[in-house]
Amino acid sequence: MNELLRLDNVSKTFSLRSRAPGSKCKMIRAVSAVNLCVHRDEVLGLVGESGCGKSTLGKLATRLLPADSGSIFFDTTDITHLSARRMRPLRRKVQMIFQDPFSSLNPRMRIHDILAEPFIIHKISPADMHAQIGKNLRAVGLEVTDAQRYPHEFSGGQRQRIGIARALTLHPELIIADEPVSALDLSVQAQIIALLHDLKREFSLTYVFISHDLSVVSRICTRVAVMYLGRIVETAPTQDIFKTPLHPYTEMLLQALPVADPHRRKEYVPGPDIPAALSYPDGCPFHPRCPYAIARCATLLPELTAAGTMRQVACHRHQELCLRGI
Amino acid sequence: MHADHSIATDPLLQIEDLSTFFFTSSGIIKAVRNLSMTLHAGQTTALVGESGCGKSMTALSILGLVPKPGRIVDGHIWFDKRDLTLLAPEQLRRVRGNQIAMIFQDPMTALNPVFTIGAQIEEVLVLHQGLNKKEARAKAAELLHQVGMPNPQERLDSFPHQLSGGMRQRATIAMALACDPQILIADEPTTALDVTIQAQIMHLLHTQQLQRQMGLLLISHDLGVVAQHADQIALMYAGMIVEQADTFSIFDRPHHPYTRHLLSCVSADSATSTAAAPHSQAQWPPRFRPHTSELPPMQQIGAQHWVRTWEVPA
Repeated sequence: MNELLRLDNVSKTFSLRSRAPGSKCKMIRAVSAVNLCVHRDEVLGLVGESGCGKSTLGKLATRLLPADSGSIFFDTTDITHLSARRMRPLRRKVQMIFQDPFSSLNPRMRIHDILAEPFIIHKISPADMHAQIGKNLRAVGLEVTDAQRYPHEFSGGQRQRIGIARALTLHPELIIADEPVSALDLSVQAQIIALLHDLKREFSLTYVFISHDLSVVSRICTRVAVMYLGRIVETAPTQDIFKTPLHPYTEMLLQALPVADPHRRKEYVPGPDIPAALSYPDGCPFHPRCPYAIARCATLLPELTAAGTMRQVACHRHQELCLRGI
Repeated sequence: MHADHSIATDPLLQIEDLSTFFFTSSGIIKAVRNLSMTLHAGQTTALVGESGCGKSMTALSILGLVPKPGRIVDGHIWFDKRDLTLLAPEQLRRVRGNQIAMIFQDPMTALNPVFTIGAQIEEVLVLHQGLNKKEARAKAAELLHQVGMPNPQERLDSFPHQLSGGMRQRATIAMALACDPQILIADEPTTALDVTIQAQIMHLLHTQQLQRQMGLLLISHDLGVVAQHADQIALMYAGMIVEQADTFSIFDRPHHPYTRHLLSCVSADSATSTAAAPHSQAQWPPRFRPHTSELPPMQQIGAQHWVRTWEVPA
């Protein structure tokens, strides 16, 4: 399969400065040695609990944040250290959609100006700019006349549509959507997911879909990568990961997911909370919460290794364990 | 425990034809319209609907906390042989927090950031139960222990910002349970939490409910949480209940188009399929016009299954 984006051993550490005199600078490992490939035409779901580094990974991939180490390839070009000027043509090909449709649109700008901004920034002013903006608005289910209105005149779902229209403006190849439906109501979520689906087909897009909501991920993604404390612990095609998870953390997430079916009530209660990113455990990062942990897990970090043709897992015991899916 | 008036058939809370309107300069907003429902001891009734459908206003109406310019314009809320809509503010204050407690979606809004967790739980105990400082502190530690807070003694001296989201929600639950309420209203208690923490908090609410035989009014937009935990479900749309039944009937035999639509958004079949559910705008149920005064009547279609519809059920 054709690689569109590849992360090689990418890490990012944030330092927390404490104001207390004499205290040491604390380090948070947000992303640790991540290897991840995004294939052309796929919808890759990036899931994990809050604070696991999934949004940071999205920002690293778009170079909104510089990586501390490792390399990022877009369409075989190494973009890790490209200058802002040389990065600009590539930025057209990678766009982001954000979680909060209220803070990602400038309240003082009309929709037309919001959608014209990508053209201005990239110094391209096609003769038919107005027509293109109108076309984009229609593509996301809004009216051409909406271009003259302000963001506050729209509902949350409509604003998210505007954010999507803005991302589409420069005909990107890859869209990184960071929790695009988390702030929306259930039926509006379904509309936006259906819209993303249609746009993918129409514009042959590739998505990285960052979400903490496994049920949303199951509805749009073709492949899922599970993150835990800055590391990818499992990747697999969506159906496989839901039916036969290989990593105990994936199992924990799936079992905690409330199923919308009263005939399948669960008695499962997950173990302790996610540890603070400051107290990073030795060995496998998941071992303090893992019900299957053995002595080796506390000392030796499991590498992400192939398990079958399409799957990868980072667990010492994945071959002996038989985990529950849903 | 208040076993003396929890006879099996007598509901703990009975709401009859409740209407709460907001009188704004641009017109009357009918936030809650002709809402009737019951809540039994030890049972969970879920109010389900999307944002703005009136589920939180229903909860605030029960507690007499409807913000201005809104007010209850009609109906009765029967609790403990009294109509809460007729109580004086002073009498209502004694019910609120004491017999009926509430927890919110965002625990940070319920906790005061400048006081320790301990001080905030102790305050409830001193005000409502007349304990002295020392007794209150011991009881507060005991409550934190009951809600599964690790190191409860030390946590008494923690400030809210020192706790994680899940631990904060445990602290607000401890506060709500402090006076051993008969009814707990939980407004989206797990929406702000991760799925694993959500499962822990729902488990905690469930075990506390069983132990105390509390009635739980669970307000949620999450059909998964509701399917797992509710005994009864009331679906709200534009201020009114459109369908009301036991959980199994709602999921097995949904009748109202809105119920069917919501269920189609989360159907179990779509959980492992990659195809998005196709929904065009044209298929959406028409939004009830908020100003029409005539509502479709509630019609009974099963033993405990009610639907608001014009059509005559077969």
